[in-house]
Amino acid sequence: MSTRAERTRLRNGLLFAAPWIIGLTVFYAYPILASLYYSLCSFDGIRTPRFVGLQNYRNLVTQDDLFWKALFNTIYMVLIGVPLSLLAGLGAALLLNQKVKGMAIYRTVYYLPSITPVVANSILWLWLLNPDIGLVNTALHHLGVAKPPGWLADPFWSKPAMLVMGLWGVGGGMVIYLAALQNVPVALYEAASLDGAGVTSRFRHVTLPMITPVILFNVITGLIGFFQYFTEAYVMTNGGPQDSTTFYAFRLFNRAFQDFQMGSASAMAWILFVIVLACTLVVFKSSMRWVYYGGEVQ
Amino acid sequence: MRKNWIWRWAVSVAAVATAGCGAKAGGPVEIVYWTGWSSNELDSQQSLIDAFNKSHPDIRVRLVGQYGNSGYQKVRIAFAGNATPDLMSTVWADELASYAQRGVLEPLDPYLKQSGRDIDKEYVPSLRTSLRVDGKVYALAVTTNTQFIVYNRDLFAQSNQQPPADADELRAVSKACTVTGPDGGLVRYGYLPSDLRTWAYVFGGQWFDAKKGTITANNAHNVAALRWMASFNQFVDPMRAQAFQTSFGSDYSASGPFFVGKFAMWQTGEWASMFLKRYAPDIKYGFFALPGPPAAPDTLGTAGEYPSPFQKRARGRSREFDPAAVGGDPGRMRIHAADAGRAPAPVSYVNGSVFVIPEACPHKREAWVFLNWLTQPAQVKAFCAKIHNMPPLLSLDNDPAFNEDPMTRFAVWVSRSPRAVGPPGIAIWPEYSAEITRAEDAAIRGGQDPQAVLDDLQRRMTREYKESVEDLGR
Repeated sequence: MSTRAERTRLRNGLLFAAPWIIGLTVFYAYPILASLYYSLCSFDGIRTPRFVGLQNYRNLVTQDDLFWKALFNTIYMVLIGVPLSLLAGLGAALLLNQKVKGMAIYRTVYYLPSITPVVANSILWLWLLNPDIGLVNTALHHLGVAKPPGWLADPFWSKPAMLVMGLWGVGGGMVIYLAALQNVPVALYEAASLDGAGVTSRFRHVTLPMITPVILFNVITGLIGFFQYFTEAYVMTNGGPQDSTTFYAFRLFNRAFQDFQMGSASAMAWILFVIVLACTLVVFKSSMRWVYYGGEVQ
Repeated sequence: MRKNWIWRWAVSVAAVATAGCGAKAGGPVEIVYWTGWSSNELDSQQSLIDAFNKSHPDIRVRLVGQYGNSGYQKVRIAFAGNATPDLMSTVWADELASYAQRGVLEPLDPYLKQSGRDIDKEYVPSLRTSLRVDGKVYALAVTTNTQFIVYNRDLFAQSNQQPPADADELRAVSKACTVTGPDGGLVRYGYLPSDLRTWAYVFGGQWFDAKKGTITANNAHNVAALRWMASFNQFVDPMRAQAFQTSFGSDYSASGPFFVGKFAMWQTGEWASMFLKRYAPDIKYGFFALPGPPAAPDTLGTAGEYPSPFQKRARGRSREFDPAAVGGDPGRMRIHAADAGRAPAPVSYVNGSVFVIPEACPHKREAWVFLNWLTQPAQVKAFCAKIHNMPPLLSLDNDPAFNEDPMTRFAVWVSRSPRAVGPPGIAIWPEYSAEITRAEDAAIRGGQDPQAVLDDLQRRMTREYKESVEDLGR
């Protein structure tokens, strides 16, 4: 039996939490559930949805060649982009963890691009990657590359071009690695050195295990981020050339807002949700083998 | 229409927050008007609205600017939530059928009748069809647009070229005007073909057969148009040409490729004259209508009724028409056999913003009073002259405001052509249109066979069209 005081506290607590409870229900829970229902409907976004069962899902899988292209393009970005940004972020963090004069300036410089708005960043890179007059190809010319890539104009190079561009923004991941690196207890390094461990061994057996929780975090956020890759394609290439940058989220957006196919777009959203959930679960499951939380005995 | 109440409520709250609500007790009825026009176009609309508000004390129009693509997407959300304004020009002619066939637009025929108006007598041919869906008028327009090619006279002279009489000549002229450097890179380019949607019409094709109600993506003339576009690949790698084009700024900026003399030709419209004056006042330019294929396709035999005031002067000039007669310097245009002795009818594709009254809006009558006023010749003239657009009203044909600038005069002539076409009036057109652009990309830059690409488009769009007809019929 709850006392009067407890009931008052409960009421007050709920009142204080009400803005968030209402906000989450109306703006998150309802749209999420509604989109699940719409994915089972023929729905143009304007008229009343009509229940059609799994037809949207069937059509996507069996009739829509662009669905598969978009999925392929996105998985390409995930498979290459996630490890690449991990290596680049960690590499930059290791370099910026040295004791060198003016380190604060270097860290700021490396971090700055990651807070540039994506649209501004994309337009800047459109110029840098221009096949004829871009700085990247001009530099490659000077290095003796006779036929540098066409980058965003070439379906083979358009995705790598966007990955290269993405490396410019590794600063966000880098600061997290940097914080983790600085949290590794110096005593561990001293002990390892006394045991005769060199630079490589210290990195492999001390640094790496100690920062695995942060690596796990960055892998998962990176995974989700690459699955939702959208703005760059929207701003720079509009999905081209030859659909090579039609990513999943871009296709989903066009289905909803260009083709009047809100039902199909909702189905795409749920397929993406399941894929991302499955990938995240696999990474989590595997993390038991490779992530070390301080204090565990391995 | 039954709608989920929460959905309706959420959108209404958002719409009221941004657009405000209608009538105020006792005062004039306030109507909300959404437009996608911005900067000087928006200012020009506002000054017209100020004049209207002054002369109509019982109605007050409130203009809400909806910029960019998101403004046009917002329209869709507003329809979904029955939270529309009273009038909007944030709908493209391309999308009109998509909305009208979903029953969210008010048919304007009763209002037109009441006000004694007849769009067949007032509007240019292309708009008479594109303002209608399934026989009913759903929109009015205050502008129309044209497409033609502007060329650099000095670059033509350097390469010893003159404006082409047909599409094959256009390719030859483009080749002659193209200059490559010692490393094989482009230094200058002639004409980069784009916009299959329009070129198909130029070649006598069509995308939809309204009589039979069938998709005609792989119509033989459409295939011929795409083949012709892909044939430019013979002398320049399309990827290189595309890359070259993107090395400059936007077409309408100071560093636009035509303005800096790097492209000899530019496919554009009447608004180009304003930008040429602003960014490249020293360029000597001429212009010509999109030239058709050398052999006239059988579908191009209907130009006889073209009410061209220049018909007389064109008559008797062997097989060549001198568009100097329309005041510009558009070079030559071949008259097809079917048109012998008549002025040729240039092709362009019309897709501009149109005005619609949403079916669910609270003040339809007041919205019509304003729209009726706004589409009268005096207002249309004031707006078009200010923003360098083509007036869609035939009564403004000989108005001095559109006769002084040669390019504008030429554009007026092009816009009056019976072969200026609008969207085919089917609900899937926005998607179909985007798919045409993909097909163009696959054939020109992907090197795929034009026939195969358009056969595939035919198959997919036929399926989509059938599904949409079934869905809309329920």
